[in-house]
Amino acid sequence: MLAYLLRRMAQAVVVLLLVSIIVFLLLHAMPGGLVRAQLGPKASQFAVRELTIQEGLTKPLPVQYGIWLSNALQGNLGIAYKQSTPVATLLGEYFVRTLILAGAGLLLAMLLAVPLGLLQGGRRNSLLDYGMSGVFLTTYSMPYFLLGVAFIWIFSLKFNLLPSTATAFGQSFVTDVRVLTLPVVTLALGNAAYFSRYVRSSVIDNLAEDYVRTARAKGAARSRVLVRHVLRNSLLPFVSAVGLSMPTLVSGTLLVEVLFAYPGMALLFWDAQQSRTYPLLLGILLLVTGFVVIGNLLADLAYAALDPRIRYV
Amino acid sequence: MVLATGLGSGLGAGTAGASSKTPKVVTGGSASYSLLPGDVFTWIIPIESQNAYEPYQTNVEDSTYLPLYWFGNGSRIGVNYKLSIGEPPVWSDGDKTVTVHMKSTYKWSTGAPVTSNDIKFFFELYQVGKSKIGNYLPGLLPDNVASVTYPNSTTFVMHLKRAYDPEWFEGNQMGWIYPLPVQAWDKTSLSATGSLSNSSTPAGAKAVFTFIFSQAKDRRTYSTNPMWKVVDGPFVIASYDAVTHAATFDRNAHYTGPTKPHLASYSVYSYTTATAELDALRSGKITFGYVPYSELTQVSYFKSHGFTIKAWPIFYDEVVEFSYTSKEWAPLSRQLYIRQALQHLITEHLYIQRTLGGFGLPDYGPVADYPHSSYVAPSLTKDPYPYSPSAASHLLSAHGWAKGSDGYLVCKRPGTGPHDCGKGIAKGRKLTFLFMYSTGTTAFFAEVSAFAAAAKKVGVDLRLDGQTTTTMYSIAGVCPTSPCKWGLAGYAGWFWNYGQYELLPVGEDEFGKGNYWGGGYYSPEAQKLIDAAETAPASQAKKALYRDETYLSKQVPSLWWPLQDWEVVAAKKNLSGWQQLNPYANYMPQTWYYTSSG
Repeated sequence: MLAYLLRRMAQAVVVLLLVSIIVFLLLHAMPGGLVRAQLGPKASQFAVRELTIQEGLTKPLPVQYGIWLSNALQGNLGIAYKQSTPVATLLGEYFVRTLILAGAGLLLAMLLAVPLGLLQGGRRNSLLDYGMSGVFLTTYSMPYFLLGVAFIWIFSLKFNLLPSTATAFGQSFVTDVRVLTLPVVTLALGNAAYFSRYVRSSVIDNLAEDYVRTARAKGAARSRVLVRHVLRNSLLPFVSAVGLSMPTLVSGTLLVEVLFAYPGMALLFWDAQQSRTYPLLLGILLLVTGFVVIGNLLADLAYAALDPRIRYV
Repeated sequence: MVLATGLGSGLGAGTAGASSKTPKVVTGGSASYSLLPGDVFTWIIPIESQNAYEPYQTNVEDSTYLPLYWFGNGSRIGVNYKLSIGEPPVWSDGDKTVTVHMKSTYKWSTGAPVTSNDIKFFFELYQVGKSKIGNYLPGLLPDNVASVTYPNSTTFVMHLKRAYDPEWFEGNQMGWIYPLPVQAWDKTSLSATGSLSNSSTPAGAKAVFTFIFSQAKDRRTYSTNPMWKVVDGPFVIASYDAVTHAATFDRNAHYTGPTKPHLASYSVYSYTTATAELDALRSGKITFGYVPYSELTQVSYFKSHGFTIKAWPIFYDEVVEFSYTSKEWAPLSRQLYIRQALQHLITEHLYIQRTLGGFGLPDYGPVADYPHSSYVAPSLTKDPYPYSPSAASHLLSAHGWAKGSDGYLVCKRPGTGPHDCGKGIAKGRKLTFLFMYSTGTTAFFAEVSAFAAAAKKVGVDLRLDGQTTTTMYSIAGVCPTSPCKWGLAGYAGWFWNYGQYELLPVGEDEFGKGNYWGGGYYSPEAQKLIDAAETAPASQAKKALYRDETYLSKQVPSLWWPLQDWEVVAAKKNLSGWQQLNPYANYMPQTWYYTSSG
């Protein structure tokens, strides 16, 4: 297992390095460069020249990358010029907030998907099953921004129950819960629909297995069989689905953060790409890549934890 | 202008119906103001870093730190001496010396008076830090000042290196001057007390400047840093969210200026998108916001839900640039008759009515004629090239262009004669421009499309190329050495703004030598007129300004484009005092107050 872990970590490092090179090249290939984009339209040619020299943009590209990599390995990801703050500091703050949003969204999605999928699988082809499938199909088909806009219209504008933006996040726990409700539910619903289908299918498959028949024959109640025996085996495909959904979750978080003006990393990324803050863009993309790589690794480890037959060497 | 104003009034007359009770002015309360999408308040001091040099930053700063001269008198342009710290400057020595007497009534919130020492402090810092300051241009303030003397605590005298038109210098240079609290800021550490001597040497001033800028960059401490509590403006910062850039300002209880605020506090909010702002407005979070142009159909909703709707026209300039430095399109851009012909294909009034819902002004030169003032030449009230496809066709055919088999014009008479296509235009060259425009607004796209359609009818091929505004900031303007792939560049709702840093619409930054946003336009005649407008003696200044404006208007260095209003204001009905909207887009919260009925 240790060897497996070490191999995966080494792979992760290679992936991160490759991603950093590709992203670095792509960012610098964007027409126009970053200086004017950062300084805005009123900047004089004098100011442009000053920042160009300051940012080292007159050096050859490999040299610029080398400087960036050398600094990054020492924990210095550069300065976000517009915010006048080290990139690492910004990432630390914003990433935590995005983690809260994405984590809460994922958790809610899983909390909804598992019991509902189990319920559907256990009552296959019933009215309940069809009804829930219809609801999930609807929410799954709706893109995040549409769901979000619908929630804003209903809960903020029509009934004034919840705020339409999450800009007040961080003021207090109560405020945080209020402002996060709509963004979290928006993120969760689509994913819950997606996950629950996996759970449902897996439950249906497992209900046909011999061990279930044996347990029932021994007198175990249906509910006990479902929860104590079927559920655990049914979670394997679900865990894979969760792992594979990481990139979608990240992109969904971007939409949700922009829609609700939630001060997370996705919104930071949006601002950074608008203003061509290269160090920040690089830092965010590397962090997200790392997040996806680690997410997949955790999914694989969870797989092994759930199924004793799976062992990595 | 009358048409636009009338339409604006017709659409926006948001005053309440006649009431038998006179609304009572309420002292106190809190209001909230929304910046335009993407604008974020990130700089607290009135000398701005290069990336904080934006008019909306200045407008927020001006609620805490007063400039020497305040621009905008209600909805009228010009210097507002009533709100200014400085009395009207006195010129002498052939307009090479300017003496400013400061009013003795202004005080910092510490109780210390605002004096010429605070001006001296400003100049000391500006001199050493100018390369890091956003509005600095080599050759202009402070480079054009030989020396400054301070005869007493309320007077300073600037000795200039050359004579200037007093009105130009006052409007386009002295607007940059802000008294800075030397007794609180002249230090290099937070724990130190300010003095009057740290910055008196260049090395000392540099250390102080570096310290002040480092503090200003630390936005997390905006609400706690004692330096920012020393203000001379009507408000003082109370809280700041470094993540969302939301800020709250409390009334400065020690404010000694003439327009004392009624509000106890106000907040500034930033939103990434107009949609988020609109939602916040509808849900009641914003007291003074705007209806995005893409959502003008919601104006009636807001009117029926307790909001006043009003157009906010501004003294700005909106253009579509020509590229004068692109190898491919510069030969076309340099031909006056081509520029005139294209201008004949723009129907500003129609664009204003149809795409902007009436919330805009026609713009026929380096500035639109709003509000009507002596700063704008009478010639700028008339379209120099009214919409006329026939006039456009005539101009082009008179210079050797004729339609080819595909319906587009090609040059049949190359050469540099008066009836030839022009220098650098080969025979058979098609009359094509790549028109790069910023995406993201349906109104602007509609205008651009209408222009392209009109051009197509007369045989001009305008190939539209939508790009993000950020990309255009980088590649439109003067072409870099890398391939320059645009012949025309237009930005949705990006203006050349006049205001605190530039009062007189001489056009020196836009169209003068070394400009960036004029596409690299240069004309010796235009430059001569620009220089004359900057340096003419007072008796000749207006004539020089008008000659400059008229010449530029007729030369069409950039295509004159309808100027959309700064925003379509949506403000709570019980919020008043803002209705005389500042033409430089300064929202001036010190004029706001709530009313209660009877």
